Amino acid sequence: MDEKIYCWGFLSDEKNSAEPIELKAIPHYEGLYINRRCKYIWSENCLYSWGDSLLEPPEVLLKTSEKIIKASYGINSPLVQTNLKPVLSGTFKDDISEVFGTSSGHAYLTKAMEVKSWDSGNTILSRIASVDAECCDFFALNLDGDVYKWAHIHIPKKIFIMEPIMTISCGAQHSVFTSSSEHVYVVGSNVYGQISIGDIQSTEHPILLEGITAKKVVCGGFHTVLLGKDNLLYSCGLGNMGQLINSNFSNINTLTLCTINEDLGEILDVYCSELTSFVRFSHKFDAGISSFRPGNLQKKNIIETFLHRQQVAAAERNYLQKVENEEKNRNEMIKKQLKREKRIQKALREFEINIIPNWSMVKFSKEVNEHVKNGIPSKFRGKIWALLVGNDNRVSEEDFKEGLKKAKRIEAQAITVEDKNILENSLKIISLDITRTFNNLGYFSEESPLNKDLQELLEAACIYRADIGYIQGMSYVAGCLLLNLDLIQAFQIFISIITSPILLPFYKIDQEGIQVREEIFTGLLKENIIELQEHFDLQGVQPAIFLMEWFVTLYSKTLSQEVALRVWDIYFYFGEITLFKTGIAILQLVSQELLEYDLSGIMDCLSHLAVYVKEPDELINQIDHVRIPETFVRQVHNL
Amino acid sequence: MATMECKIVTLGEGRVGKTSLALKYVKNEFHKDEISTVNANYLTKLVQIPQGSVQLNIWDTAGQERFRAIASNYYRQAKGALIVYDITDRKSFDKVVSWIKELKSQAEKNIVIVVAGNKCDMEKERQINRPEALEFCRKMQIRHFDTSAKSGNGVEEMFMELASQIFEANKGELGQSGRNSRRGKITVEKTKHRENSGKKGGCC
Repeated sequence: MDEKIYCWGFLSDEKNSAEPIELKAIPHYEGLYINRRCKYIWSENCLYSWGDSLLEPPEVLLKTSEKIIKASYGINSPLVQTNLKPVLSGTFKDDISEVFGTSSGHAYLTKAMEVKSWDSGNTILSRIASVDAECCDFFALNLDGDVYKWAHIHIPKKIFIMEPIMTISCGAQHSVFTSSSEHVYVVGSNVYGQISIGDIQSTEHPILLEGITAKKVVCGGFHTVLLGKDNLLYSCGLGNMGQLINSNFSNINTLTLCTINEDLGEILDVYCSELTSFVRFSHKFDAGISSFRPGNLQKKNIIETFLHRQQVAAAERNYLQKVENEEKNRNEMIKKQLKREKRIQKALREFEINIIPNWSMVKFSKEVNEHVKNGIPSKFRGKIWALLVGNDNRVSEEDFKEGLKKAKRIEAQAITVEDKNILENSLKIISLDITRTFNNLGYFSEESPLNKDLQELLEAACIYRADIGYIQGMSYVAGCLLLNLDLIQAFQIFISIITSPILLPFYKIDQEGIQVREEIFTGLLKENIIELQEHFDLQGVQPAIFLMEWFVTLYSKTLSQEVALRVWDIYFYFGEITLFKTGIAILQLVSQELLEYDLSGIMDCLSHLAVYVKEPDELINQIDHVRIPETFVRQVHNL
Repeated sequence: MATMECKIVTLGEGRVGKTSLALKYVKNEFHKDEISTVNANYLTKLVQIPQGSVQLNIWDTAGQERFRAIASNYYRQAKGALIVYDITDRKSFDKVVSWIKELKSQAEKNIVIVVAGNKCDMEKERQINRPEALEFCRKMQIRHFDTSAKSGNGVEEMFMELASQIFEANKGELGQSGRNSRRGKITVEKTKHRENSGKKGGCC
């Protein structure tokens, strides 16, 4: 055998080396697949893998009578392609061509060049040529040379780079891309100098490494190795194990020529695992199917070419099918939208002509009940809310003005010391919170007229009910009211909400009161989705963690505006029990996901509920079907 | 290599940038007007350090004084705490002292604490003299970082340092502790609750 593989860096728990150590390979191997996730080598009919120690020969993982064409990383077992079967591994969905993962989960690339989520099977991206992952972020490269990045359940974002990219390689917290003109772009952490940009600690935008061209670049966990057009190796980054191929154990923050004894032969290829670098020397080799085939690799053999062509044809077919499906889905969406608009038109007329003029007579009729569930038209929303809430507390315009006047005085520091201590903190936080309320929508930005209204409402309320004061989250409730009502009416309803028996303890942060409500919620959860309640228990998720935000903001921070307003409609109409029912209904809608997740997944999901609960009708319908046994109704009433 | 799972909390006054720092680090996102936190957020990130890897489960707490009674539910059993102040706000720095005291008396004994002087992109408006902050932290034997969630300055370094200090402080437990203790559970103990609400007195 004329070919040899040498490695530098971490070799086993006991040994590392800055000098080349020859890797014990197998005779007559056909292919090699080494990266941060696995180290495979195969002969025609047998797949081997190096274990924890690189000083030992690789161990047999799989024997087959078929010819192995390619092996790559799978989650529990390798993903193997043979000349007969596309994938030879029990655990896999059959259209997989690559699996890649981060600490929070896995994704896979299909033969139809789509990236799909491992858990849900949802398509994340299409027309993708190659994929990789850092420890927390996924990266994918499409056929146009665009690079996308995303994490766990987030939507991929395109990374802006000046030219089309041909290859991507990811380390633990850094990544390197090469372009079609062999330029090198780096992004991510530079804590050990792994992206060769000098003293700068890290960069979130790709930076071009000037004056450098590369045949290939690979990332280890914290280092980078580059095979230059001059066929010499360069390295940078963490060197603690000797992985920088320079007889040294120190870190280097600029790509520097490696010191390799010429006797080792001509460099063919380079690979990196977490803390080790591997170089293959001399003679021919073939590295399996790849969409982009670097020029330094030998041509494919006939069988491989044939299989590749088949795959491409299948990919094209699947892609066309998908485009067709998308078209169909879009049409259905439009139909739904039209239907909804018709419904709104009808409701508008109904409210205007029949309901509002005869309010006290019809307010509890079956028709109005139905209309409220379908959503009060936004034109009348504020008006109907005000009618439903009434003004039992007899909060007047004077109360508002009085409160506001006092607040202004406190701000001007013209009052007694005790008053100041209690209120100054609240008032200060109010002014900080104004522009942060629904910040993505910009309603309360400094230029907006509502900015002043929101501040005045909260300040006046904070003085009017100084026993409650202000807590963060209230600004959402007030904001939502101001978007539908004038200032005085919004103030009245706001006071009525924060003093309602169920919500008051939350606004007062009265832990005992909160606990009682949490227990009721847990009871209802048990009643409706017992398996989820048990799962929460097991994972250490206490409803108080999320209930606080849900109740304090009446779901307006949690759900999208459209959905939240529909919840408010039924909250005002059907009363406070709605708050409990909504929480249960939301959990029912996402229970499939939640049941699969551990604590971190659950919290992640619960903090992105607006993404999961998009359809207002679906949520309202679900709320309608939440079971509330009589004992609970009584408990809630007695609060 | 071994993975250690641990719970950390962010503490500090309102609007100093606790959520922004955590978000910047975990998701590399920054919003000028980050929404205010009600109760707490939860974020998680796997940090690889040369000794191994650490899964940071970050409980990002609300900064408003009134939520303070609840914060103890979050820092209980935490292995690390990140106390944040705003370099342009004197009062927020004074809070750091009281948080350190509270942690030293109430939290786990070997809790690792780091302090972040955030918003260091607003150097012009600085109110806390840097040598003063450094001297204070040196006395307390706590690492101090200048950070900016906006520019990202110092953020990664700080979390890496926190992760490696936690790894060092807890590596003894790595092999022995079974799977059960791995999870950063947050348990709101019922009895504790009542105590707290009693203590709280007339704060609101």
